[in-house]
Amino acid sequence: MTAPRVAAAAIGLVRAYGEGRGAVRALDGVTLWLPAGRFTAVMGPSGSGKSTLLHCLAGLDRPTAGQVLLGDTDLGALGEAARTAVRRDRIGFVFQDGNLLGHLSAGENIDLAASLAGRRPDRGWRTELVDRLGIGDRLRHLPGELSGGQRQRVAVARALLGRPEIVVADEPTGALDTESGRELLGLLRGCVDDYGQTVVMVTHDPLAASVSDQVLLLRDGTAAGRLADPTPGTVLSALGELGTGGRRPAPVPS
Amino acid sequence: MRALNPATRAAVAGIRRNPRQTVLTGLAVLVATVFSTGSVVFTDTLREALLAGAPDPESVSATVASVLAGLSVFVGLALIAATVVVGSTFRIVLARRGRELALLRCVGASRSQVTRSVLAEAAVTGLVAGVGGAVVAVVAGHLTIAVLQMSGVDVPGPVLQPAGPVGCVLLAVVATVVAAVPSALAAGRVPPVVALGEADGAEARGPDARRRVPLAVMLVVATVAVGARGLAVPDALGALGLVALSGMVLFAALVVAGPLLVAAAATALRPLAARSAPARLAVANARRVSRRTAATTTVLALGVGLTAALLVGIEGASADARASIERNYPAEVLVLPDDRATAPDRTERQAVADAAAARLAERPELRVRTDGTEVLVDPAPGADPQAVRDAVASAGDGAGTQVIWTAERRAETEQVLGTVRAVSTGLVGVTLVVAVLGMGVTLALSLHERTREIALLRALGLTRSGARYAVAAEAAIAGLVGAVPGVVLGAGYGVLGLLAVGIPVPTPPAGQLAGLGTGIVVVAVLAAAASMRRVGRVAPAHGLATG
Repeated sequence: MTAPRVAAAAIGLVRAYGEGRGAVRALDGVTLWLPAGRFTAVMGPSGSGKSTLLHCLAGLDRPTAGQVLLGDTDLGALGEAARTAVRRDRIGFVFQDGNLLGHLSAGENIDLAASLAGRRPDRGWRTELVDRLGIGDRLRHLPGELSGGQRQRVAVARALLGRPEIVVADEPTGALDTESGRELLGLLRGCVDDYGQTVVMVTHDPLAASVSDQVLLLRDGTAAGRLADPTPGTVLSALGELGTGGRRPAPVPS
Repeated sequence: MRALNPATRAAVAGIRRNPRQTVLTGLAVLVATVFSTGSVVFTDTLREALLAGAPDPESVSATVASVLAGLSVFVGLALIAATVVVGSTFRIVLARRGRELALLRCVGASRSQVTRSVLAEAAVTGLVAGVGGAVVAVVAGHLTIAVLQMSGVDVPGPVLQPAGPVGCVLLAVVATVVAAVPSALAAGRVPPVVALGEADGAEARGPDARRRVPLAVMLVVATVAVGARGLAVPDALGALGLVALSGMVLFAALVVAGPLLVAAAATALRPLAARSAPARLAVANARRVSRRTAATTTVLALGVGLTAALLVGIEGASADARASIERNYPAEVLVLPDDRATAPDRTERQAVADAAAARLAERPELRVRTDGTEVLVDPAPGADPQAVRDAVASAGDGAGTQVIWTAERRAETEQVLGTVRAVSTGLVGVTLVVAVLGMGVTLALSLHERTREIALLRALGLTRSGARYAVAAEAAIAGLVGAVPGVVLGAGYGVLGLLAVGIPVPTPPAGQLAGLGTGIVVVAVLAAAASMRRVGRVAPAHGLATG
């Protein structure tokens, strides 16, 4: 099997907050890569730096040291305006709980990035996405009139419409019930398999992570391992080896 | 609408879907526009009425222009107050939308696209408020005139020239857009990461003392310099203008230093609130959003200050007018040779005066003195007023004399003073209304944002009346922080104004000033009534839910 093309990568990535002795290194020299056309999950205990990693990969945050590459572009070297353009044209976002503009219809939300850039969206591709995600009859509705699952599917359509180089998903199933969550993961998986889309997802949920092609583990701001072809069981035990034990039940207050 | 960028489209769609908030945001501008349009319609009507029977159109134009100029000073003040209020409401509204703005930035809206969307929203808000205000003013103007005409008062019909109201609407749009500029720039700076749930501390950030203190100090120095220059100028009108300018510079200094002053005041009030949890909460909140609190309190200080200056000024002018009557009319009745009936010959006038004095002196009800050609008549002690009147009428009238009753002059003067007081209170009152509205709106919007926090406090055991009390206390603090400097500085500027035009300074009307200050605090609490009702209805469980 030939090594797949790299869609995005972090090389010696450091992100420190604060200065001097009080500085906190959320990322402390992380090197990893996201293969193109694959589904990567990023996991790790709270405070492991996975959110910061996602922000850096998405061009939302600038590294203190090291490089973040999207294709051949070093995102850390770009100015604010250039990074904004990269986010608009080359990255798709799916957040926890939709994050749609409440006053725009579902359809308008899907076209958001294209219309910000002053472009007309690709009609055929839009129709295909909307059909595939099963939201064709919902486009005129406001986000407030949609279910949580429908909102997330609108967000996925918005993310994919521009054929971005990577789709960045932050706990996409976090606010969904089990059934809607499973559906959404299936749809994301389908986008990777059928359209060759690159997806990177941060999650707490071993079940969600098991849908991916590889799980990257983080601990204390450093890369702590990689798990290929994960299953819920292997993810749980890998997390256990990280010394966190995955999702432990919260202690019952007396 | 397809042509707009989606940020703008979202903002405009937001106005359509949530008109209540737009109305709240633009309320201050609406009131100011009612005022400006009303002034324009009034002067247009006045011009037509005067021109109808005037032989000299040019002097009419000059008169009307000076009336308009006088009115526009007050319109300008109300607009400035409205601008500060609307600027503050925009900041609150946008703070609440931080996540949405961040989302736009995330998916690729540039800073300027976000900024422009806020400015577009401001323009639409200003347009709505401006048109609303203009319509209210025109309708109210027509109604007033119709009512006056029906009740038999001779007033001319209303004149509506479209240019005036249109200009006022444009002014409203410009004022609102200008007010929104700082918020719009701040909106553009919202970091995109906020969309992913990172805390955003834009509003919680304290005022920047390093930037504000030097600027405020410079403005205060300018205030003193301009004020001192004003007192040195001999020309009364120029002096008054400089004193007024100094007052406006001082207001600018208050706007700059406001957040720091509010924070300081909150710190000073903390010991007073130590024993009551709701009061502590109120003080902490006023301090936490000191920029927001300051915006409303400085406008309140402006309104209160203008009113206080007016009270002192009118007190001084009234005392001066009364003193001048006592000086010029040394007796209750003056009998003078009538200039129209008598030749302007000195000896002849003297003869007329002497004859009148002799006739008057025969009456036992009167005490008569003469001063040159003036016959000064006072009632005898214990004389019946009606008898005095009859005596003067029979002996003083006719024969080429005119009779002046000092009491009538006093009554005329009091009437003029009363009219001046009423009109100027009305003119200044608009600014006060804008300020109080601004306080109410700011508090209402702030509380909406704090619903979860209030619910949490309720869940932790804050009683319903405790929550209401905290809101009332917060309103009272804001009222106090606005009223006290307003009364003190305003009274000071009233004194300066009197000095500038050379009127002796009276003992300050302490009762009225105290009443003004207390009244404002009470009105501030009343303006918070709706917010108090709502805060009482917040369910404790709300704080545990997400979103």
